[in-house]
Amino acid sequence: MKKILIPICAILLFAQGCKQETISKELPFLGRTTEINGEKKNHTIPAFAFVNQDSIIINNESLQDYIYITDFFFTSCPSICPKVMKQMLRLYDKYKDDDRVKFVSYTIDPKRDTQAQLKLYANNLGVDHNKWYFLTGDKDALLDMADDYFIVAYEDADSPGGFDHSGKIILVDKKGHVRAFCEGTEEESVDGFFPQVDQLLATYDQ
Amino acid sequence: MEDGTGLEKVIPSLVNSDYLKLNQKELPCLIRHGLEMPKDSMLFMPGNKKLTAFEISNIINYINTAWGNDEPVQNINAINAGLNTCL
Repeated sequence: MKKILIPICAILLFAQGCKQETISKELPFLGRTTEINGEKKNHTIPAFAFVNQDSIIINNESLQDYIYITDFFFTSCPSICPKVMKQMLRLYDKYKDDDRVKFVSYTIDPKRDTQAQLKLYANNLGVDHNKWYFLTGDKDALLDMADDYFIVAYEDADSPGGFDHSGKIILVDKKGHVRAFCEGTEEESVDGFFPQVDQLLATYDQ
Repeated sequence: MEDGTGLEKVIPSLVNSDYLKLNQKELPCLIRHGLEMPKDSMLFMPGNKKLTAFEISNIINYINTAWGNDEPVQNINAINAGLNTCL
């Protein structure tokens, strides 16, 4: 029994150690680092332009002064989207009055999720349209965006609702770098995401 | 979600819901065939045609008694009678 207990304790200590380390250190830059002219460049969300629920064009510049929390969804999604949205709403409730934070939800089903449909969805969710953008546009461009956020999203007739995608929630800093993510389908994972958002915000206070 | 409260107005709450109380007889058809909303609202409830009468019965009786709900249990005969009225 002792022989088994010792490794378990070691693992627990190690896990505890890791946890403390991530809280004290700066959030990592996620994704591949590229080197241009000898200069290292962190993965950055490329230039984009989509239309939000109020027919306003939202692009990189619209978000450059904000950190934002983002996910991919579609309004008729019968499977994981409602769960993820519930967690997005939890985050929204905490940061809705913080002017440094925006929320962005990209649809992966622009055929059905027109601007009008997204407007209705945002209204039904009861959220501030200037705080939370629901974006639609060219389908291929939207699915390409998912790649840049490391989200798996593709059309699949066998999946519920016709699309397969992961329910990750992503944190992006003011320069378009992906800094953290959590599983939007798991409440505990999102619990651990809040301090990461706070941690990123704190770096802008200095 | 698991607590039956839905998602704001996107997915209406099932807890102490007037709709649930007033539409007990319509529930079997509602679960099997979904619900079309008025044209201007565009949101809808998808149906699930694969569900058997027995499964629908379990769902209804779960919803009727979970989260403090207190609606009468519907037996399989009532469910079948309900399904026979589907349009």
